[in-house]
Amino acid sequence: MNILIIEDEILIQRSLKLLLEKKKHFVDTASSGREALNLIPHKSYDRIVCDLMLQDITGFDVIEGSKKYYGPEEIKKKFVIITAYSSESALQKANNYGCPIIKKPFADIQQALEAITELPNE
Amino acid sequence: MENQSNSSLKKKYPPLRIFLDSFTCSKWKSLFPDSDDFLYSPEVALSQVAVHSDQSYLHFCWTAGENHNLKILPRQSNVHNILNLLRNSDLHTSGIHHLSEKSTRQKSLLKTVEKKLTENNLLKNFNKLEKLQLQLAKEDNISNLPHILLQQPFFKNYEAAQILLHEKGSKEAILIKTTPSHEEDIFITDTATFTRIFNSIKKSKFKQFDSKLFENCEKEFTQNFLGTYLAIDMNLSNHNLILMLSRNEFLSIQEDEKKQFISITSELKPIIESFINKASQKRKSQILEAAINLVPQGIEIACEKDNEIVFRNSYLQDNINDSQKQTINRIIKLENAKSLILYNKEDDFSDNPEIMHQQRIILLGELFNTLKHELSNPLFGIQLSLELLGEEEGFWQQFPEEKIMISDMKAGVKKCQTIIENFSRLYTPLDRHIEVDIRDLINEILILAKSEIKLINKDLLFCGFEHEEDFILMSNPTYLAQILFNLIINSAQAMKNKHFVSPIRPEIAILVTHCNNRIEIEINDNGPGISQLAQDKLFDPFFTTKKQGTGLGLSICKKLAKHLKGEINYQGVGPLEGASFLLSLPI
Repeated sequence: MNILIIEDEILIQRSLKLLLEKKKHFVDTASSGREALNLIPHKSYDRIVCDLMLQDITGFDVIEGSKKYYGPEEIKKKFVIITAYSSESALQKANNYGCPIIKKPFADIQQALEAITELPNE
Repeated sequence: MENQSNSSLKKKYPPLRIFLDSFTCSKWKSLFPDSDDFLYSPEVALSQVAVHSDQSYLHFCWTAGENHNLKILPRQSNVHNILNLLRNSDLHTSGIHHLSEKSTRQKSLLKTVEKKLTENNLLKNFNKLEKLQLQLAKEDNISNLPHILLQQPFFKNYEAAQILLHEKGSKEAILIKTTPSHEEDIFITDTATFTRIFNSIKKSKFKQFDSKLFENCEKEFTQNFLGTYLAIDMNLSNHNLILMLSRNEFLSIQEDEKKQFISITSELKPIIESFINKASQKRKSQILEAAINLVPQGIEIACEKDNEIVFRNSYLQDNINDSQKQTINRIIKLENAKSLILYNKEDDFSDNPEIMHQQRIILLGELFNTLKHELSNPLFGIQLSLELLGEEEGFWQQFPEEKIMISDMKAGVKKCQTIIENFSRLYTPLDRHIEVDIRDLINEILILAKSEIKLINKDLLFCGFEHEEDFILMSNPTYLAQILFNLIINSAQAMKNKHFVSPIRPEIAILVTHCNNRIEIEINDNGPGISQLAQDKLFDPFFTTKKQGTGLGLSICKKLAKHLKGEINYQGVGPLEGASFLLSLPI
């Protein structure tokens, strides 16, 4: 699948990309929200892995921004939120979008990778 | 045969080395100042005669060779008895190696003592001095000194007494009077006046003065103090003192009376000195208390430690209304226990220790969150990279050692992440209660306190927990952790002050009991324990026995326990015979 990783920590970004590419996926990366919003309209991503705390805007802002291109159902299916930030309000908000949330650091890396690359049910 | 006693060569007796214990020291030393005849030994082993006193007796011992009791005397003995004792001592022959040597020493001691005593009429006055000393021991009011002195038998011919006192380094001197009608008052004058008078007296040979000495002084000096009088200057350790005695007559005073005055006052010097030191301190405290009572605020003394007195503003209480909150708080500083400085602080209510503490916890919580976030990301990055590296099986087969290194690195990162995770569980928003596993919490606290309790034996016991769910309680881990952490640190720090003789080691035993719908956590140690005096003030704010302590720890713990609907109590010495605290919580 086509995957977009939005993460500002370079080491995480690169490692995730390599791990996913080993599983034969096509991975693009963005280090900031704005960069991501520039990439999204130009490619059809099956999955967007988005960190909440980005340098410029939050992950939620990215989701809002991509509403231009995706409907709510697609948002639910495409976005996977990863975050080290575990506040109640953040988790609540993510739930409102219907997206899965994976806490950083991954408790089980392989499991997390599977969740990211899970094929959406029709 | 020549009479040896008439020999022109006078026999010189070597100085006698005497050891005095502290009580005897205070009595005898004034009678026998260091001189050719007496040498004071700091230790029994270096002395020839040792004098010890206990509750009721004076023990005299020869210390050379065997420790042999000369005789035991009732403590209030006067010097007569002591002399008699020395004259008629029965020496036990058993155990004495050099009998003749003892006799010589005995004679020597006797001669020197007799000489000293008769020289200064000390024998006569010894009893009287002793009585005076006892009387002054019970007295601590400085203004009573002239009156008490006037009552002494050696001053029975005098009608009025005045004392001029200057504390060395102070900017003022005080004049304490007593009149025939026993009216006492204290008058304050300046150092220059005092020094002028003091020097005049010092220079004078005859110590007789009249009103001329007080020329250019305030009238208080001569009020009710007329005629000729004797005055003596005394240089004490912390004060300069002038004692003046008058008959309120204008006749000149007899020669031998003057001599007597000079001699008795020199004997009085140590007695007066110790009294002045005591009374002077008392006077300072009295001035201070009076000052405090005049301050128009609700200020009370919270506690005293070392040389500090800590004040608390009683307006900072739980149930004060908003208008009272607008009251200006004051910070009070003590300077030399003589003056009070009040600082106004504009409405800075955060001086309330509890609020300060809450704010600190919130701040720490925020800081910690930021730190956690900043650390998590890089660590996660490393973790992922290691995962990647490890996947190249074919590659690592050639480098087995390096492969192990990668495993180790993964483990290291995992450990860092666990530490962050554990600590973050300790900081929850203040009013929230969540599920807390008491085992995990206590273990985390022990890790947090690791540096303080490294060398201490730790025991953790759980009692009455039958099911897994018994370990879970709804509580606030932040508060709980704070209380337990505080108690453990207190134990650890207290035990630093106790000397443990091997094989005994400092020990903290934590006993967690589950019963009657409560969880009770008992922290016991085998430290020095808590003094009777401190036990009542244990949970008072600002009470501390530590040099650098704020005294806030336990009082805050008590409040936190209340927030948790539990309570914290001191249980006495506990099973380890040190100190035991119990935190009791509802489930």
